[in-house]
Amino acid sequence: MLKFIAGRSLLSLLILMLAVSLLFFMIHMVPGDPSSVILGPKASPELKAELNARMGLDKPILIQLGNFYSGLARGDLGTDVFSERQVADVVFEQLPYTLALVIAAIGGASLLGIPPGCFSAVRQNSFLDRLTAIMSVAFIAIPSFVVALYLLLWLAVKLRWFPAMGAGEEGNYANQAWHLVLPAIALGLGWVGYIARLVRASMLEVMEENHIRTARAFGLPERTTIIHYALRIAILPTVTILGLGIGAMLSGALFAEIVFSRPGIGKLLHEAVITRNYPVVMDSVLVTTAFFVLSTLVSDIINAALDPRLREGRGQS
Amino acid sequence: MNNKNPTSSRREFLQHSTLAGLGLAGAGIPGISWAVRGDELHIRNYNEIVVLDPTFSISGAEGVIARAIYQNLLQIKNDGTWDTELDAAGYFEQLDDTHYAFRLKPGQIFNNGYGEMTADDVKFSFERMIDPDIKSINAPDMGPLSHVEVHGRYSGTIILHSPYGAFIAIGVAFGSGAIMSRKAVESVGGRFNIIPPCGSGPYFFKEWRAKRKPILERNPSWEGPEAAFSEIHIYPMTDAKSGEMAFEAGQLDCAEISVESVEPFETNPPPNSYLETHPGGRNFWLGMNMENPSLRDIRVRQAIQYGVDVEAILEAAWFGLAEPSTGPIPKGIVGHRPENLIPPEGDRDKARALLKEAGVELPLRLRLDVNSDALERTAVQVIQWSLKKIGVEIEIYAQDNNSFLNIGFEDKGDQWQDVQLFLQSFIGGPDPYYSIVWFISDQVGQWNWERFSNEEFDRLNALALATPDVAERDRMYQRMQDLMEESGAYRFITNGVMPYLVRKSIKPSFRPDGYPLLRGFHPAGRQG
Amino acid sequence: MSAIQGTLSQTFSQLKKDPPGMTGLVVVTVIILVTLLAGIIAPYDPLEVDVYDRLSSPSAEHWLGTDQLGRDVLSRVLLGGQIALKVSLVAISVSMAIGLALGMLAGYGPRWLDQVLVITFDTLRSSPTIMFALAIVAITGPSLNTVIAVIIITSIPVYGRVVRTQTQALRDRDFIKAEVVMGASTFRILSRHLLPNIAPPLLILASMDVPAVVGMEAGLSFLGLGVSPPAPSWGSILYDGYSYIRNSPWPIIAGGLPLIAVTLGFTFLGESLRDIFDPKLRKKGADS
Repeated sequence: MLKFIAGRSLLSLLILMLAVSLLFFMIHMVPGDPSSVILGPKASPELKAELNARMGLDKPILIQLGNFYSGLARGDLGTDVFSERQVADVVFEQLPYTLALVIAAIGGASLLGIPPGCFSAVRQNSFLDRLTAIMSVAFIAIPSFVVALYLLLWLAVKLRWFPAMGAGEEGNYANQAWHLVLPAIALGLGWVGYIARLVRASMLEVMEENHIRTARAFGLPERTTIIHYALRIAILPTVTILGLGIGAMLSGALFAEIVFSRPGIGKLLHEAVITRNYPVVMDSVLVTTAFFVLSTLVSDIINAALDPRLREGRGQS
Repeated sequence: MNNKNPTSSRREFLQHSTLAGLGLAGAGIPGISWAVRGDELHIRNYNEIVVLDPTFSISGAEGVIARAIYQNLLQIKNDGTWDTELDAAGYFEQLDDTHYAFRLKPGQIFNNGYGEMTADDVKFSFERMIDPDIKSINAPDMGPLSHVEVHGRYSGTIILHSPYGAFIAIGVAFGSGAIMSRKAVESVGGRFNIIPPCGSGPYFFKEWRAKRKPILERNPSWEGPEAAFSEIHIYPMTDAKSGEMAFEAGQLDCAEISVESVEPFETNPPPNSYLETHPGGRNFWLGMNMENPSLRDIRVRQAIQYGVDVEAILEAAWFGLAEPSTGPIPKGIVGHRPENLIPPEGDRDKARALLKEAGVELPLRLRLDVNSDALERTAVQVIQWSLKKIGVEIEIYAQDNNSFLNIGFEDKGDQWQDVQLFLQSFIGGPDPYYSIVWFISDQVGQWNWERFSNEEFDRLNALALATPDVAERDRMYQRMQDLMEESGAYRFITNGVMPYLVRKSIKPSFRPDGYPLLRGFHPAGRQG
Repeated sequence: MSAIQGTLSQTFSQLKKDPPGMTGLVVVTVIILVTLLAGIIAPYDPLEVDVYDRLSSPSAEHWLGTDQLGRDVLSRVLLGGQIALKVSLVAISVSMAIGLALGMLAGYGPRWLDQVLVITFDTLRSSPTIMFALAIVAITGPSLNTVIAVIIITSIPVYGRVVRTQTQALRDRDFIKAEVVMGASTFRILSRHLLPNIAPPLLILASMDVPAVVGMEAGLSFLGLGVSPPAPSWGSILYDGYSYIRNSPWPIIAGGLPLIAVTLGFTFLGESLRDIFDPKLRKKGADS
């Protein structure tokens, strides 16, 4: 098992480095350089060249990549081209907003998804079961930014029940939570049905298992059996997949952040690409990709722990 | 009313936003939060500030703050014109073409304990702009500045190498002419970015944190008429829509809004507020690359000039709020032309005739590069539609601003050769030189993407810059814009418009190009 | 010929028993028909500008109102379907073809090649799609072809992985082993035996991929990274609608509805088809 974890981790690291390097090359192929934006039209070519040199942009791209990694090894992520602040500060300032959004979305989706999933498993083929099946498919499919736009239009612009933009007043948690509602719904809605289906499937499996059947046979109340025994076990695989979901949600988060003008890593990245703020681009890429790769790694390891067959190598991956 | 206590104002904000959340914002609960806020001003700035050191400060967003915390020898009058009046100087006079004498008002104090402003600070501030070691990005603003001679504690003479017509407007009364304390700037190593070591204006820079609002506070050592607000909170919001929402929530007293929002706000204004629309200072035009094979024939370029319906563009993209422009130089500035040679609505028959005369095979297919903002996208689609009527098919190439800003540069690859049409916009300033200099021959391959090169134009540009006489300059700049239009490479569209939502409790003040002048803001019903 | 007919009619009769699947089929058919006929049924030229009649609400002349240039939103929505259809057709078939080839190569080829391909797939899938999209679009400039390229690059690994797994499973089956023993060429095994077994589930996967691809195209156009104006992609209708959200809600409402219809229609149909052709999966309930 340890060998498996070590091998898997190394592979993940390799993939992370490959992906980040690939994006590094792609970003640096982009025409345009930040000096014209920073210095404006009055800047002489000499001034621009000097600024590019200060940012290391005059060096061959491989050297730049090398510098990026050696900086990374020293824990130095570089400085923001515009504000001259540490990029790590800039990125980690935005990260909590995105994490709050993703966690709120997953949490909300779980709250809404687990009860119907549970119920469908217990009452198979009931009306609610079939409704859940249909709703889950329906919600998964709709692009989250369309949901975001409709929510914005209806609940924020038209009815004014919720704030339309921003993340709320700093330090005022109630206000921030208020601002989180619509983006979290937009991001999480698709997951409600997905979670319901996952819970239903694993509940069905668990209910077949011996101790649950025993519990039922002993005449324990149905509710106690389901909630205390079956659901507890059935929730585990769901949690694993949700972990994976956090990584996958980062794409969706970008749309939610743009539609609702929220600060966050997605919006930061979008703006940084547009302004060619390379250090910020690279570090947001690094952080999100690391997130993605790490969540895949963790779920692989958990799955392997649950299912020893997967450790044998060439099986399914 | 205790406005020094931040929690009280935050609580009031929450209260109000909850009301807004229940849909009661428009139901006539006027002025709860902003009335209580008393003598604080909360205002949107269109961008974040990056540098407040005048040597490297370039954005108008920084200028808005700099004008409130620094003093210049002269400042722009608070009367909607570009005229200047005395600021730090009690006396300022142009002695001849190259000599300007000044005498500071005594008793003007730099805060943070840096003492009284002296003529040596003026010398320091002007000369560091052209110091080759500092390499100030704003050095061109000073033109042929030579040096400053100090005659006494308060008086001195500014000496130029040669006459410079834009010196007062750009060098003295605008951003680069801010007077810094020698002692303060040297104490921070000769340069700073955001936090100024000190200032001498009616407000001082109190607080800044990245991505958050800067706060200005009334400067207690200011000797002039007391600043109108105890604090000014400046919220950087690049997106006008966020500003609108924040205004509706009661968070802001004054916010620039987007043109498309004027109509909805007119029919349904937020409580206790009104709209104010100012002409802008940004020059929008359709440019044509004269060296591109498809556009080499002047008749083709003229056909496009006549084919573009500027009135329709203004109606669609600016919601009919902006006026057609007559060139880079907006109204109110020396050199503004009263009229275009080609009428704004164009002339389709004439356009078709020109194309026929040029023997162009129709449809003529051309590419139009544009920055992909909503306003620009809308504008180019009207251009596309109106040119289609004369047989010119436009392919729109919308890209992000940074890619777009490089297309005409010769040092950024070969793409400048493929440039055909483009919608471009430059911000001007208080002097026509600022608006015009980008179109000279030396700028070909840099900002002059039209590759317009005209010997008379270049000569007039140099001459007008060195001419102190205003009437002479006016005539020259008008002639230069005629030359631009006659080349066929330019179709002037508009200088834009800056609409503001303003709380009725505030009396705002703006520059002629629509930027706020914070020093001139007052609570309504009180004049300062 | 008749065999195919038989399969089709059998499928159809099974579909009839599944209301969501049937609904999906109807929705998809209607959307495809409307899209193909959009040029004829659209009441106006979707590019015809009338700046003095902008952002109007629905009326007898303009059923879904007009946009900021006074263009008929209904006509734009109808024509927008053609862009969505084109993108999904091209992007899915190309990425499926490449994914099929690479996946079979990985599953059947030498182990080192498998490893290289799997790492490549994982690398391409390891950052959020949107980041690749941002980078590629910034390099090449936004256009319909860029959108298609982005979708292809990010979809290949998905198909490749599925095909690889299937190939590996089949490779060890007896009938393939028998072929190998009898000296059949690799090409023959791949084309005659593996391909026919892999293709049907792959086609179902592809049909279920349509909503994702349509959504991605719309998403990129919504960010201003997709089709160039004035092309009426659903995403660019939403982008315009978002810019002018205070003035009129109709472009957003109108631009979002077909996206919802397409995603629902294809998903329900795809789920239903999968259940019919691949009953094993149904038991598992949750899928990936």
